[in-house]
Order: sequence, then structure tokens, then C-alpha cells
Amino acid sequence: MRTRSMMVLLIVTTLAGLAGCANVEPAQRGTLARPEMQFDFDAANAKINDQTYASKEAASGGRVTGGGGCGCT
Amino acid sequence: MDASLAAAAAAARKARLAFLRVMKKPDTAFAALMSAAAMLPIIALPVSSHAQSLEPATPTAILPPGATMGMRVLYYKESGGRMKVTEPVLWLKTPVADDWELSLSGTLDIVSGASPEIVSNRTGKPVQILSGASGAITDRRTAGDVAIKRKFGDHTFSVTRSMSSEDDYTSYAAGANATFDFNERNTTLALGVGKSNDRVRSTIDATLNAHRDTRDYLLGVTQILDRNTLIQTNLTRSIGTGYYNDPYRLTQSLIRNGAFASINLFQDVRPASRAQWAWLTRFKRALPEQKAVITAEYRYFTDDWGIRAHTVYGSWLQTVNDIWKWEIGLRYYSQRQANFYRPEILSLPGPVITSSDQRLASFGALEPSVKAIVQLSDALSLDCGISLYRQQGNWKIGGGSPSFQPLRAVMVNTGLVYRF
Repeated sequence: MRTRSMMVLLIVTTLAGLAGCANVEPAQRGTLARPEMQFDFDAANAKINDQTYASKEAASGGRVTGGGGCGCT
Repeated sequence: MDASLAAAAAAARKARLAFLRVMKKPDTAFAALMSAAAMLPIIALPVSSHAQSLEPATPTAILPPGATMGMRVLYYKESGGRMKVTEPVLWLKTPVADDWELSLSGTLDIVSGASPEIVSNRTGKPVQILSGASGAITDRRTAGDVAIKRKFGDHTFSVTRSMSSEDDYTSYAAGANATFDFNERNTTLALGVGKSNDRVRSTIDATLNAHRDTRDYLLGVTQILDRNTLIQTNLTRSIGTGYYNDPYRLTQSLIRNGAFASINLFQDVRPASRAQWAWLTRFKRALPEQKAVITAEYRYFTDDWGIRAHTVYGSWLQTVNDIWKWEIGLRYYSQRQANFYRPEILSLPGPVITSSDQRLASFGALEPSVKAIVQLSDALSLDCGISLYRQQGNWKIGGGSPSFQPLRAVMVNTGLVYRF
């Protein structure tokens, strides 16, 4: 219960912090539009990595929903 | 319509129909994926402007600008003659009309080698016994997924369908995701729901055919911090019910009772449900003067099996010139054990819920990686990365499971990306 309360507090703090950020005009977003600045630009790579870790570690998640499982050994 | 164009279009239709007829027979995930792929308008046809001119028609792949396709191959090998995996993936992402985007991917997993199946304490302390002693494992998994995304001004809505099939496991999953841009597109809110209906079977027990059903939820925010910096935070919840046992795994324990000792075998039995939280925060910052991009990630994971895990990842991507880039990265993972993890059982009767699977133990993992990326042309890029993955009990924050046996693996990951 304490862990869950801490998580909620951290998430609310993070979201509140993000909401206060300064605006960047569209013309200033050239660097942000580059492929290497995209999270999971190469989705196939992210998926392969996630699946490898999920088959060797007990933790998973954080990225997507609707992905299938596997009986990984 | 020009006669040659009409003939080409008819031939393309015929080929597509023939392909669909062939693929309709095996009812597998891969066949379904290929059927979907066959519906794509990517058959080479003469472009329409040539139909009106006297110039000879030139066959052109007509994936529209903005489309990308690629291939990736992962080679994974554990030391000590354990598992070896080769996994090729083909993928495609293309606009199909105004405001619509289609993504497809197909994966083949070829797994061979020996897997730990029994943990025995007969020699005095618990050790893993590999399946290789009685015959190595070979398995093949095919998987595919389709996603369709529609843009509505500053918002997107997408649906996904995934399928995965192997000898003893089948999974069908579906998801719906939406993103909302606001704050003059400086902030993106992401919402997602998903479900997965899986079937668990066993190659050693023909009577096993059990279900495992999972629902997933995602809430995420991506924020532009300044012209060079992005941050994203995602919270995912996964709630599953059904069969979580490993039908191949056994715990063999020598139990002493006074002057008597007996060898006992215990099946792997896990709870019939699992509820997980994962909270992932990612940060990217471009350093224009250094021509570099730094990435930092942290994920906290917790579930009702008692597992708590921390994952930290950092990387530095360096642009050398217009052709070459390189990247170095380091990943650290630390996990606290499930509350039913027991490498050995010391008294009878044994617990009802118990597992000796090392993946549920307390341990830490470290993975340094290096990658080279080469731009072969304006459209084509090639990358190759290598990483060394290692698990060790005492690498967990605060110490790990005493009987944890280290794991070492090498991963080579090569990808080719073509942008139209």
C-alpha cells in the first residue's frame, strides 16, 4: 500500500512538473523531429529487446499495450 | 486505360488472389499476417503518368513517401551450451491514404539448445540441471502484427492485432491506443488498452490446454522540455488470470527426517493470477555542439507475486559524419524474488505454490552495448549492435539469492531500414 501511494505521488509530481514546462515553437523543433530523437523510432528493435528481456527477467511493460505473449523458455 | 497498365493491374490482382488462396489454408498467425500483407498496394505497377505518354512504362515500387520498411535479425547465444536464438523480423510502416497509416511485421524465432528444467539439491546445494542431458530443445515461433492508425488533426487513434504461435503456446492479442496533442503540441497524452488471450500446452503432456488471459492499460505523457530535450513517462497496468505454471520445470529436493532421507519431486505451481505495474520514464537530449544524443531511461516494476524490479539504461549516440554514427549503452537491472521462489524444499508436506525458476529469484543484470550505424544512401541505412548480457545474484541491490547461478549471453542485432 505504501509503495502504491509513493508511486501515485511520484507520478502526480512528474505530471505537474511537465505541465509547467516552457513552450517550444514549431519552427524551433527541427532537432526534435530527427529520427534519433524519437522514442522507439525502430519499433522492431524495441520489440525484439523487450521480448528478450521478458524471457530472462520477471519484469516487463512500460511501453505498449496490445502485444502478444509467448511461452518463452 | 493503357492496355499494358490494364494487363499489369489484372496480373497483380490475380497474383494477390492466388497468394491469398494459398495463405488461407494454414490457419497460423504468420499466414494471417501474410494475408494482410498481400492486401497492401505495393505490387510494382507502371506509374499512371506514363500511361498517357509515349515513353516506355517504368516499373516503380509505389510505396508513398514517408513509408519505411526494414529487416532485423537478432542472434542470441548463452554460454555453457545453453539457449541459442535466431530471430529475423520483417516490418513495414506506410501511409495508405490521407491521415491513415498501416504497420505490419512478421517474426520467426528459432530456438535451440538446453534450458534449465530441474533444480536439484542432491549434491548438497541447489543446482540447475539442463534439459540437454536428456535431449536439447528445438522450438520455432511465428508471430505477426498489424496496426492501423488514423490521424484526427492533433490526435491519433490506432488499433493493433498480434498473433504468436509455437508448439506449446498460442497468443492472440488486440489493442487500441489514442494520442492527444495539446499545449501547442508541446505535450502528448497517450492512452491505451489491450487484451491477450493465450493458450498454454505442453510437448510432454498432451492433456494440458489451459488459458491465460491478460488485460493491459497504458497512460503516458510526452513533453517537449526545450528545443533539444524530450521526456516521456508511461504507466502500464497488466492484469492476468489463468495458467502461469511452467509445465516442464521440477524441483528435486533431498529431504531428511531424522535418520531417513527421501528424494522428492515438486511440480512448478504458480498463482493463477498476476497483476503488474510498470512505470517507465525516458529522457532524450540532443547536444548539437557535440553532434550527439543522450538517452536515459528508468523503469520501476512491481507485481502481486512480490517481485520489485528497477531497470536503468543510458546511451550516447555520436554522429561522426553524414555516413557514420556509433552508439554506446549500458543497462542495469535489479530484481527482488517472487515470494514463492524456492530453489529447494526442506520439509514435507511441500508448499502448494512453489517454483525454482531462477527468473523469479533475486539477481542483478548488467549489459554493456555498442552499435555502429551506416547511411548507405539517402534512403538506406544499416546498423549492427553487439551486447554482452550477464546475470549474477550479488549484482542485485542489497544482495541476491545465494544459490543463483550466473548467466552469460551475447547478443548481435543487425538491422536494415529503407525510407521511401
